[in-house]
Amino acid sequence: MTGWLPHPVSPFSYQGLTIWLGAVATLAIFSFLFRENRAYRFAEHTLLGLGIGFGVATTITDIIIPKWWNPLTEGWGQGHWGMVALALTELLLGLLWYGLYHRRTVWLSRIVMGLSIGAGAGLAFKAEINDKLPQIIASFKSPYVPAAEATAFNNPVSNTVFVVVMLAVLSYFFFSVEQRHPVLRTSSRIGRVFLMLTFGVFFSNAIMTRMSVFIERVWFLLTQWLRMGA
Amino acid sequence: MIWADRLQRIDNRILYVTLAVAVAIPVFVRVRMPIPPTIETLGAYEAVENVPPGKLVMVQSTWDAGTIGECEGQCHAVIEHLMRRGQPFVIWTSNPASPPFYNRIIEAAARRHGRVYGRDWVDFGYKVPGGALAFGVQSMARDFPGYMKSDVRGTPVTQIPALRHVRNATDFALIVTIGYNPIGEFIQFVQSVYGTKVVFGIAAINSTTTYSYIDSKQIVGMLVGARGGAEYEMLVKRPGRGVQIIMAQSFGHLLIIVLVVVANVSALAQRRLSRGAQA
Repeated sequence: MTGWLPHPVSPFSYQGLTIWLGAVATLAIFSFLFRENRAYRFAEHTLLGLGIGFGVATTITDIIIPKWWNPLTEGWGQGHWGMVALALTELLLGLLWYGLYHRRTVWLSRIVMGLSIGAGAGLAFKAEINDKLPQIIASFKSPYVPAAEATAFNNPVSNTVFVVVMLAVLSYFFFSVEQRHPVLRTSSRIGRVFLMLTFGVFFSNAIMTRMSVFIERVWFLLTQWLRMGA
Repeated sequence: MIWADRLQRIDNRILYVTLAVAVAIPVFVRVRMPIPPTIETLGAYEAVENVPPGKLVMVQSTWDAGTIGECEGQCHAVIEHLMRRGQPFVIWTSNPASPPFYNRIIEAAARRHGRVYGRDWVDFGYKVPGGALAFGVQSMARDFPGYMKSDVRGTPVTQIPALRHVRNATDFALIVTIGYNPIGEFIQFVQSVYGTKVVFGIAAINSTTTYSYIDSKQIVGMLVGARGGAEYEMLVKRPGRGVQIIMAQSFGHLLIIVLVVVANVSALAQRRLSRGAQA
């Protein structure tokens, strides 16, 4: 930040050129706020192309070569036939996915699809238990907490609020019987209010994130490209 | 009638420009606001502070150009804290676009504190595709050298001084993940199995449902968006991107609150005036 008046960075250096490219791309994307236009379309397609190209290239150089190609070639060179067999089996299973593209070979893709679904389901089962069980256990809170044991997350007020909100929201999602009973109906309505509050929190957090992204770009344009500031 | 109508029909583009001007104010005027740390940020800070000397920390970074605003401050503060303490750490990513961003921060901090690659930190780069994290994280946790094999410079894990004795996830005192989304795999397959402590650094938009992990003690701390980064930067007394963003954000939020009030007052006035006209 070197002044109050804009004096853009020179584009005739590597760093300056990257800043200029970043600034032009940012302005092209922001131009959508004025109206749909060709500069925006160009920037959008360039970004997509770059992202996909970069992703494919790094997947080949950083994942496929070290995790598959190197073990295959090293195994072949050193006579470790187990490594070679494993790599070739991986290749075969990977190729089976392409069976999807022809009517006669679609059954081949189902083999590897079945394997993936089975592994995915097993993982999801383990993941959900490890993820949710501690949270279910933690939701059994006592409204009474001795003063010596009270913490920011475990104190009588917080725990009472927690239990009331949890029961109210659970009752809102209780669809097994019609919610005619006054207690269930009232609890369900309170639960709906708490849900609305939560959606408000979600929305305000979404605004915070979008705002951070926007601010970073505005500051980039002003301080790095135009070199303005106190 | 006319003023209420006009306020209801302000062109969106005027609002966008007003917002841009509001968030740019701290560029021209030095603003200082108190940034007290929240419990979740303090939890993250203390987790790093309490890592035994010499014990390894794992940093997993997935942020890139699209999330600089939210995550750069978090990464800057955590790396600064680790480097200042001389706490060895490994860093890797599941997003191929992330390494240039975190490396810029690491290299600057290493120069400031005289830290050396291989002894104080090790970069493994892009190791696991985002879609295969469940498999990658489990394999890494079970057999770290076997899964990682070598760092970005091609040095085998067994020959890197900082990693000579590393076998599995129990050899890491703490895992810090920084990115747009929380990486639940570290809870599902590492914290729950090996007991390694986990800290999340995530975008604010994803934080609402993540607080329950603190309550259940599955994570020991959390950095929420630019705010979390700013708070941590203040704790390590090195204000950076997080503090910049949060100052500007305060002006943006103030403008949004004013606009919401103005829009509601004008809508009420418009309704009242149109009722009066009908009567």
